Amino acid sequence: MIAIGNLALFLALLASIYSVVASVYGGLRRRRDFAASGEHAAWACWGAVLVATAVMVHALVTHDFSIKYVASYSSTTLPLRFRVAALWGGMEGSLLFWVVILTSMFAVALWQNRERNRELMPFVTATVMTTTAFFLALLAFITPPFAQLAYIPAEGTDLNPLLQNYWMQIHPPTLYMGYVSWTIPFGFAIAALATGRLDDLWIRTTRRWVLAAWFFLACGNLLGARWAYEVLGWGGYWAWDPVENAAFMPLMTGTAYLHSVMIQERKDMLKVWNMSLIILTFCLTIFGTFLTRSGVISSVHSFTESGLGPFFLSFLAVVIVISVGLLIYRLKDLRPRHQLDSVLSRESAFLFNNLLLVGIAFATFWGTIFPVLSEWVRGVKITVGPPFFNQVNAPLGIGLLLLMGIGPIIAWRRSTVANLARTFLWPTVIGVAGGVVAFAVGVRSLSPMLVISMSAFVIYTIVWEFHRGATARRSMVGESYGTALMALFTKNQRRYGGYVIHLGVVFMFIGVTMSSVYRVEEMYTVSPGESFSIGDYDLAYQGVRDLSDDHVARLAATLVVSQNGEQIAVLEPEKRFYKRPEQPATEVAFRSTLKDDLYVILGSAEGEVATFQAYINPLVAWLWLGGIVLMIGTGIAIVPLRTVRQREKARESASARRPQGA
Amino acid sequence: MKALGVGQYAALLGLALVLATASPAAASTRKAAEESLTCQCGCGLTVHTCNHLQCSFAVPVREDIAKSLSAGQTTEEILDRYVQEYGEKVLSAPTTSGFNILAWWGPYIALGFGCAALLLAFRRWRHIAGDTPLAASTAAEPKSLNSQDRDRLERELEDLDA
Repeated sequence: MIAIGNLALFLALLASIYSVVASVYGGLRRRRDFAASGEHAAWACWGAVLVATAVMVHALVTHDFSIKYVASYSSTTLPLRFRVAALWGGMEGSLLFWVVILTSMFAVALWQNRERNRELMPFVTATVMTTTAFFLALLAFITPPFAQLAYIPAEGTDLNPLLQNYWMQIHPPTLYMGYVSWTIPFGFAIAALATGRLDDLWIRTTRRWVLAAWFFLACGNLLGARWAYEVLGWGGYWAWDPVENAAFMPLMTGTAYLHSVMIQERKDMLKVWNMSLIILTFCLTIFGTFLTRSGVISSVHSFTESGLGPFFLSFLAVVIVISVGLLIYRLKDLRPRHQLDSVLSRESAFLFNNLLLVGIAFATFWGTIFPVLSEWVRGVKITVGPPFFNQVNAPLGIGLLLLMGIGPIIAWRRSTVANLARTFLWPTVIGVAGGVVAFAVGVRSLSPMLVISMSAFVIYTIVWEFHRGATARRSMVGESYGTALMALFTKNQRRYGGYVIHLGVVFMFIGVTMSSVYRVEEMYTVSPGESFSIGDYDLAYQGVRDLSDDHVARLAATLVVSQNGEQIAVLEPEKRFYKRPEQPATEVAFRSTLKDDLYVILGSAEGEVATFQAYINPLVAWLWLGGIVLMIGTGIAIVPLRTVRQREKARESASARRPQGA
Repeated sequence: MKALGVGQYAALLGLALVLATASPAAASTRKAAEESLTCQCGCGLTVHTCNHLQCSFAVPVREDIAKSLSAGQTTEEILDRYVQEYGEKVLSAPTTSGFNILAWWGPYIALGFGCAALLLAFRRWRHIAGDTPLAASTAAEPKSLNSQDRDRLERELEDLDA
């Protein structure tokens, strides 16, 4: 089996290199046979990578400890679901997993474009296969996943206990899909530059890919936050760790692209900027992979130091040189056909939104690499931790929230001051009212007051937009209000899906702000039968139970939670000690409501006397709720709700209505 | 190891102030001091948030901060002591003196450049647009639309969006 795995990897590498060469030759010489051969090689590469992955999963499931990777990241007592998840639990497996996602996604793109975009496809294939070849070369020569041990150990070292959690099964795959999917739009952007097809063809073709990539990246970030909240047990969900930052930065630049591309579609401008954003987002996904695997910056997420850093940096340099070179080469063809009409316009709001989003990405990048800069320049190690990121990014985030309210209701092209005053009167009144209500219920700090006020402003504009759309449809088509409201989603998925995403983001802003600013935390040491109170919760400690098994030693404390004298929950926080590798871990227990989370960690238990760290995290559930709303919104924007026939009909009626010559 | 400079004090006091004004719960000087120090156990969190309840760094430091504050030491004196012992890396955020100023101002300088570039672009665009008769005609306040026109506009905008 090991031989098959190795052979498959080398064949995949050869196929990917051949694919690049044949595709570039086919694209440049307009030789369809070579271009087709390049695509066939890409299919073959996918097949070989699938075989290599299957061999690795088989080895993990059947405890083949002759493979170093299997012995290092699994054990005989590790449950099956975690043995499969061990595929992405270590360096070599995670790179293999990366390649299998990339080639699988490209297989989908190849299938979608089997008869379309024939001019672009050779260069798309070459770009994606170059990335694939890079990762496969790492696997073949630097970090071989099927490396064997000189002896076969009776037992494996096992997966890191922090990863033995169901979030481990979904968070890394989602995040990887988010990272990897950006390669497809990047491939089309490079193909557009290489061929000179600089109209909006590549943008229309990749519209759903971009949304899907953004969706997975957003979900990956959110699931990571949830994982931290449930598993790491420090009461929070985001610590601005370098690797969290690495996943956050492309999300910001990708969001900027999603907005600015609308201006290119409408006005045929910002072509250079949109190309730059796609290139930047792709580079940031590679940079994120570099950060986790280089050992340059210490992080709780890092794999062991591997010496991969120089290879990633070299690849990144090649990507930047080729992309920027092509961009400069095509600069004269990327000139805008139209100009902005006014600073007071939706286009301009989108541009400021881009400025803030890229500003947040830059601030995060700057804070992440500054310790390295400091060591280079001054020779002094410093830490850039959460206080820096919170302080620098908070004002930019609030600015973004404000623009989220302005963008949807300010007119395209041009607004006048009188127009603006009319449009923004009620949203502003509602926003101010939100601030007053917040003050009335006891909010005194500036940032939460601003966030609540602006959230009210944004929510009003979203509701108003839906109301306006439904009213227009009702008078136009004669539908009932409810039907008209639902029809908005199918008639203009991206716009109304986008509004739902905005609503989710507002909820997330509220959740993050309130849970950060108004968190309550206390530590208690109690004996069985004793109680303690935090907020309006009373917790009665009943004692500890031993729940150990062969895999892990577990000590669970039982706390009966009451509110206003009425029992509402039983929480069982645990202290765990994993046997392989020997490592302690906490299993937090929490009760979540929309109002607040009661979050309890069992710190220590000496005999029956236990120490608990308890938190009240106000409105933190709104962060997760916002995440769900965001996912629904993206689903609305992405899933084809109209049939092909309906789309054709809409296109026909649109062109029939369009005046001649327009 | 050098003692903290005035700028560094100012930065840390600023940080403490931000934390104190950010939350009533965070109002205690103790929490602000704990948040200003990075735990050295490898957790990557601050001394305040480190979740290892038997942490060999965070637990004694928290005790020391509490003891030192009740003995009348100021936050700056406590932080200064830790900087002397562990170096600047023990602070959870860069100071605002010397090279570290770049850390704080870097993002805003970049943003300033971005903003300036955007405003210049607007000016250029407006200048070009102002030369064209089309722009001159659209500069006038648009007439209010009747409901039929509004519906049509809505419909066409939707088609454009789709």
